[in-house]
Amino acid sequence: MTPKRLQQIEQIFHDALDRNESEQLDFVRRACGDDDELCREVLSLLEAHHRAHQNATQPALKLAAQEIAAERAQPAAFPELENYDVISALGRGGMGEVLLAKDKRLKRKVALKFLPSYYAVNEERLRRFEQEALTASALTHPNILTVYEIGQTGDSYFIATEFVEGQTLRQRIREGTVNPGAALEIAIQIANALQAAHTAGIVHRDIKPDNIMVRPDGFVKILDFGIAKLTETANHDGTVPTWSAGSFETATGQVIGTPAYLSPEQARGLKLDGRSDLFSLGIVLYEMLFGRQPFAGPSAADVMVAILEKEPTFPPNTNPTLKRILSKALNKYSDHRYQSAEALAKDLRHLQQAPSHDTTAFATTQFDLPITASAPAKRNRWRVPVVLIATLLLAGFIAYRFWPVAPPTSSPITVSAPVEVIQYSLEVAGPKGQTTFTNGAEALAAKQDFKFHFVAPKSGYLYIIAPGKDNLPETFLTAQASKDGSLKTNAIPAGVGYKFPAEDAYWINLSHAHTTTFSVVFAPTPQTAPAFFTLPAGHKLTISEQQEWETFRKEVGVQQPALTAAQPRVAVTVPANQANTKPVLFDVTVKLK
Amino acid sequence: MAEPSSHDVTQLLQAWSEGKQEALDELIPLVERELHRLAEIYMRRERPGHTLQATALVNEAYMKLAGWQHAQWNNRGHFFALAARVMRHILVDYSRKKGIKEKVPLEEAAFIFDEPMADLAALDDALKSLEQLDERKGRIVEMRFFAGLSLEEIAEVLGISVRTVIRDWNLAKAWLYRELNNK
Repeated sequence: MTPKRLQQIEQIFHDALDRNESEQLDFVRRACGDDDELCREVLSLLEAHHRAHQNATQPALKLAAQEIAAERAQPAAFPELENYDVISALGRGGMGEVLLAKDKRLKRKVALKFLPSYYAVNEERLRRFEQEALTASALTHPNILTVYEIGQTGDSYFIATEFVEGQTLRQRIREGTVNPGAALEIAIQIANALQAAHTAGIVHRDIKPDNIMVRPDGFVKILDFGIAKLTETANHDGTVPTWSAGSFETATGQVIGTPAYLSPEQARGLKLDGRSDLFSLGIVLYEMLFGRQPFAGPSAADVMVAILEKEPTFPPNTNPTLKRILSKALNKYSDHRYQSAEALAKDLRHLQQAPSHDTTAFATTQFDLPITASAPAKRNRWRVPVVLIATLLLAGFIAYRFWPVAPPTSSPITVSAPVEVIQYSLEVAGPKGQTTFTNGAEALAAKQDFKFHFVAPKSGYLYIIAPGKDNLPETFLTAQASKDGSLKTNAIPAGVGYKFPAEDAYWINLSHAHTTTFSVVFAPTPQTAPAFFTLPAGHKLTISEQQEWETFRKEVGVQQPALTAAQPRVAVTVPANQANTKPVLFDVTVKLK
Repeated sequence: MAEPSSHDVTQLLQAWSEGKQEALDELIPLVERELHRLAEIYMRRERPGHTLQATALVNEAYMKLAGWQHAQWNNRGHFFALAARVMRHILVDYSRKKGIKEKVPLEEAAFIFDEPMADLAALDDALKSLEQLDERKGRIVEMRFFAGLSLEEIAEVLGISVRTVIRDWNLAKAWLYRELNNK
């Protein structure tokens, strides 16, 4: 491109903008004559102009301030510490940088967990940071990470803890190096640690494989009592415990991570005691043994529904004693669960020492069933309210503010919902039916083909519109849907979209060669207007059809979920009164590595 | 390093606005230091719901460096243009150092980016290619995006009409949006 060409483009661009939006396309086509490239340039800029927000703000300075303040916590500039020599960066924890250092006096290695300096100005963060140190330092148990001190250098706060060499249990599970014998041993050690904590009145609240370190010698350490609360003070003001301020929130308040290890009472936002940790431990043990989580689903909300409603299933040939132990640990009602970590540890030890103990007999090989594609929880009359709660919890609301939740003794929950919503789940996965990834980290390398998964709670008609050249919608993607993640292919019938049975799960294979952004229209009835919906697949939209498409988009409104390797699943909720009468439109963006 | 007197800064700004590029070499480190310092203070003060005002930050830097008594509009405008350039440099440099994988969160930049994560290095590249075709549009984006100048202020700094600034800004925005979202 030359400056002169830009001027030419710009002239038509501005002249087009001076006209009504409905006239712009025709104007550009006339103004460009038979210069197709010019036409494309102008149209793509117009398209960009309409899509870009009109009210530009000035974020850069704010960003600069944050980044500059954060720079202090960057490992490149290790802090000078009075008592420690920093050796290297270990990684980034939930709240800040973790450094490996050597204690100058005692000559031992320590891990220093830093609170980024810009968090230190936030009293809530500072309070949580100090609380983590305080809580953990009150516990002395060989299976709980020892806290040495809480310190400050300049504006930065840090916690010095024991340095543990080894891997997190998450890494071990991923590598597949946890055999059933090791799994029992790890679970027993965790239970021992929890017994000590619970006796001291402390609930961990966030037991999950990422918070458990396994040393090479098999010794287990529980990390991160960061969100632990002293149970006796948790509800002194009568509020619901703020679990949402724990592992599910980042610095910016975004909901992240997985609710997969929550207990039902946590999912409901009720008061917790040690038995909640035992439920979480049950999930961890289940995952170590069977290689998958007992309560899974395509979205965080589905997982929470499963935690609240679904009974865990076991592979055939599962040792009956083990099954009994896990079922008891995973009981929905804490009164029917193990009442102490000690009791659970005792049963596990019996199982471990049983003469008939045979690793292959008590845990079969890992499931090879697709996990994420498993049908959503069976529909029943409580499903919608529960999804509502789950969704609202995820959205960071405190559910009880809006819906008085009955005490746990009077289940099922009664809910009166002011707005009924319908939830859609969108998910991406790798090309070969890799539906078993549990954290989304493996799939989606650059240039890789991927599959898009769409779960609708009701029946309807599906249309996929993909961008062609210059990001303008030119073609219908000829997508192939297959059920339950299998590769059985059913071409989406040209023109009519794909009929989605209610609550069904379909995978659509998409080639990266096509696109990583596309639009999905899900309609309660077949779309006959605008007319392009009835055109055969692969049809290039004419300019006036493009215009119809734009008008259609404005009319129905656009949902814009972004799916990434780190967050391969997204749940989108739409008010039911809208979804029942009008098409719902999703602009899906898949971000590859 | 001795504190620069406000008189020096005013003179340097004057010299720069008269076209003496070497004045810039002396000004940039002063401005950079001041912006760093102020940004940090602002972050410390920041509370939820409180938004850091770009203009306030640059204004304060200007008041500090140039002094109240010399705060004439002409110099202020040029200072803002300069601050914008420095800010761009700091941010883009930071983004490049972090590498491509770790993108900088830029929630409010939705007008340029489809996603709430923006790659400032990519923005800088796109901006450079636009500047090669039309330097003025690059300056405008710099001042608007990195220093929060109003369209009117930009018009005054560049000595052009507001209408022209709006036209340039509209095209530049669409251009950057397309470049960044088509990759």
